[in-house]
Amino acid sequence: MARRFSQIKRGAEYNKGLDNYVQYLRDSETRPTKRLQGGVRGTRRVLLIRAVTPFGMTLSAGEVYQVRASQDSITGIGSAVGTTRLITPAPTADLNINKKFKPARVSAFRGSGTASYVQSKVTKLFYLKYEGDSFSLPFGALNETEEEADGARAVRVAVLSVFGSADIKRVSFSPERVPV
Amino acid sequence: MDALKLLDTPLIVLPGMTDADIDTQWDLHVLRVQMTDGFLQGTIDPETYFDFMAQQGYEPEQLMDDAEENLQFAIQKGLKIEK
Repeated sequence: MARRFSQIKRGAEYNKGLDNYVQYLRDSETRPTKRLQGGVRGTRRVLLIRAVTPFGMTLSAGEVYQVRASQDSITGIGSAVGTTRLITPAPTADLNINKKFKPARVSAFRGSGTASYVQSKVTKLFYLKYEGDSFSLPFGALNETEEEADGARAVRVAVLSVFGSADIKRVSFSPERVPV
Repeated sequence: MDALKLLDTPLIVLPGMTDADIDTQWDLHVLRVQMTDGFLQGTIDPETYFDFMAQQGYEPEQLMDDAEENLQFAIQKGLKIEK
């Protein structure tokens, strides 16, 4: 059987999941909301104003682009990204604000080594959830000539180094998008 | 939330991987990100994209399952998805 169809062996499981998913969508109007159920509200992430030097734009000296970064991630992997790639802008900084600009971003997960089966609310199927911390930070160029791929590689090496000997580590990269 | 995250295929570092292994896997990850971006922007057709991902060891069905689960999560959390 071709590799891309090998999932068909799980058809029975998926069929149950699909039934539950359809039911979940049908119940959307009558499903008890948090207002009825109560529960604990998670802590809202604190987002801080930071700035980056874009890879794909030529700016005048001292000009940077504003981005937002979560406090948790700065605490977790801020040292790996460094203060040149993710600048804390001074009040006098020449700060560009453009919502269409999306900085390059590194996302990383450090597993704590434990995992548990949890049930999906949607499909009611159980899946393995790895415990750990997720971080995501925007980053910019170290200097005007640095290429995005080189920057991403350097950040990845630094992030893995900060994570040290954790068993499970995942890193991914999202490219920068420059407004046109 | 970036739409790219719906089809995330991260570099996974396993115990025993050498620096050279990690470098190779990272290059493949960056390639996958570029392909996924092209697919989401409409410059790469689905067939080419899914064939490429199948070659990379990501089964298209599994990939779409994961994307759907991520999408559901994003909707539940009220996250805005940007292409």
